[in-house]
Amino acid sequence: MATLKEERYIGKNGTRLETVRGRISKLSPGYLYILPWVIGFLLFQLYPFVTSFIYSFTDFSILKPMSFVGLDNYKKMFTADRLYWTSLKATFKYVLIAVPGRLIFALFIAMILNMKLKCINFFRTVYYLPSILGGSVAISILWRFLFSRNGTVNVLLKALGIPPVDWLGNPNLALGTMGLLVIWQFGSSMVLFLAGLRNIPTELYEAARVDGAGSVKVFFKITLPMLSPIIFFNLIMQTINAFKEFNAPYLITQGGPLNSTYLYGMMLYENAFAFLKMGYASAQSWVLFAIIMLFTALAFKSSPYWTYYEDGGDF
Amino acid sequence: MKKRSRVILGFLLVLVFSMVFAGCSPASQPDSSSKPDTSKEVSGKEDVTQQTVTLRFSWWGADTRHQATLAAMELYSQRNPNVKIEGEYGAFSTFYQKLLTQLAGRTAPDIISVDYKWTHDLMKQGSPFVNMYTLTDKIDMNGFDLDFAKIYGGDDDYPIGLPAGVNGMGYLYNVEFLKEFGIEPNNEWDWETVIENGKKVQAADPSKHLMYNISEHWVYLLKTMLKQINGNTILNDDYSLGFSRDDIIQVFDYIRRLVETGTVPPFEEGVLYENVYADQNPNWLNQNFGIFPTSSSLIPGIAAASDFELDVFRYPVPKDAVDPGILVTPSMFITIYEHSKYQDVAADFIDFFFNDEEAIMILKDTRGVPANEKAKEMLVREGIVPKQVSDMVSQSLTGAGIAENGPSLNPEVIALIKDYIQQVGYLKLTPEQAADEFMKELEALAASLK
Repeated sequence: MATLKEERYIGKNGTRLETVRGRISKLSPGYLYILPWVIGFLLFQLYPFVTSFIYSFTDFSILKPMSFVGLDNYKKMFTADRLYWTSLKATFKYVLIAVPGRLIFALFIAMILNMKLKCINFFRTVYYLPSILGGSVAISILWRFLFSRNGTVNVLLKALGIPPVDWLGNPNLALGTMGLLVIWQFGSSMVLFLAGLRNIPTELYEAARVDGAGSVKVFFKITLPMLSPIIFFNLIMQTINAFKEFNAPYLITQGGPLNSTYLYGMMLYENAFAFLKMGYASAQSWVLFAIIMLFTALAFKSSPYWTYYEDGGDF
Repeated sequence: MKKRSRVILGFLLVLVFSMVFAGCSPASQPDSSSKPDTSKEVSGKEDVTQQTVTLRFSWWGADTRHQATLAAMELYSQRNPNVKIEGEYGAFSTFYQKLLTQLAGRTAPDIISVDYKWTHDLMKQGSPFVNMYTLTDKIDMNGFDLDFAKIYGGDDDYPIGLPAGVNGMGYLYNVEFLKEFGIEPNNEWDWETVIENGKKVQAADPSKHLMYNISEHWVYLLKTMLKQINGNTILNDDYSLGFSRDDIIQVFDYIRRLVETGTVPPFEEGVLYENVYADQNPNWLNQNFGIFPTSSSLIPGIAAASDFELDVFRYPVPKDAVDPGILVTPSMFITIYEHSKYQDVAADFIDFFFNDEEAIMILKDTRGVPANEKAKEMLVREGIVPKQVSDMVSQSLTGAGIAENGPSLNPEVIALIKDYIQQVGYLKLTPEQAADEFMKELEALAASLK
């Protein structure tokens, strides 16, 4: 008869279970392998995440000791910051321009590149190029030149007899012009769409054609539903990125003209590094986090109504 | 074997946590009182002649300044083979933000260039620079007017650094352009002369404009006009407003007239170049603009890029001005970071930088007319300071305005001024509407800054 102590380690069918200590020893090398990631996570994600939350309740200018101010930063944001709502409005407008614009454009190009054409791989590479260059500082500066008053775009318009347009100087156009830069960087979404398109079984199209469906109907009844999980993924990723946009307004317009491109990221940066209000900027970043969470949650909640998974959609 | 890996794992985890909680804790807090810490004395006691020392030196500016500074650093390293100096240079627009993050992380360079506009802010944040008075035995400061330096760079007991140059504001103009439109440049211009001549240019060629202002200059213009009207800075030392509603309406109205008469290009066109100097503005280089209001220290860079003759005249001062208002400031303070490990070497380099004859001849006037009398005399004697630079400085000194104070130089105050200038410049607000809203917001902001 086994003693009580031994019983603990012997399963019902008599097999010997591993001790807790044994299991840890077995896992140790694994932990060692993931250690670089763990260090990175703790230092560069968890630590800033936690501290920024603490800072959000303080008056903190980096160089001087912080003092706790309770919810003052949050109150100030919604009631006493003259630019907060302007910035929030500009950010929502930007998300509304950039996200659908980029998804539609990426899908459009993916459909073209899905055709059976000669040298199609060459074209796929060429169309992906803007994404490799896209996020860089150089391209943002190039954008400034393309859309300046004497820039290439206006030179082309002039050749067509159209008077020059102040793309970046006109407060009504600047945000849209900046949105074009993001739409132009459609490559990563396009690659995902392309992979999705190639995964749609051809028999679905063949069956639809036999039933007499036209190409528009085929697109809306087969292509779009079959691509819906990829649209869902792209939608979430692009929405998050658009809310966080910083490079373009910083490098192209500095938030102007008339604060029309003063996006949330730009406001955060200015409060933190130009005005040294780290506590306030941390509070603003937590509100941005909440907004992004809300939109992501909404997208997830709504997804059963418009996404289609062959396997029922179990993640 | 297993035991050993557990030990390693444990050790690494301890290491990670100690890094997280020790390495990332906020920099130890400096004394929060605004009183200067005169105990910040030179602490580089190590024998630097024996060991290799690497110093970091940061500055901003045009290419001519970069090349000259790198050459001077090279010369210093040749004479002191154990000292290597690394240059960190970049654009002015992002320099301060980078400096603040470096100060926060205690990774600021050993020798830091500091603009007078940041001094007040940095003094409030704990003054992270070595007090220059503790270095009088290491740096020859005889050529410097420290009283002038302290107005913008520290307080009575604590000069944060030595000023590299003297900077005056004035009008830089394209000689041919003004001649073409029959405009006579002279030192008697007032604000109405500017508009009259602006109209003249527009009448002859609507595609050209008399002048263009960068956003920084629009702020100077507003502040200078206010000083000329009432003799005050925009905010008083106690953070109360230094102007009345009528005063600011007068200035906003003038800005609107500059736009409406075409004296300056419409804001829609100008805004793209509002953060770059004339040397990077194609319209200036293609001679579509005649005048660029600027600080004298920027002239060499602009002259190098401009393919036409340039000259200068005095900034507008109305006959009945209460204060002439023209901005005269030190061009850049060269400071030593209080946490620098090699403050002795840094001080030695600064002494070389300002006083060595060979270094003076390399650096020339790339930081404006030198604030060091000895260097200035040498450059004037050798005919190296361009006439335009020395003329602009002497013209500005004939109308130097009262010094800017800390509250008026606050970055948030400047951002607010820029915002309202745009509202008026884009003709979105009338001068009266802009005045009311601006005063309300500036009062609220000033109250929060106190």
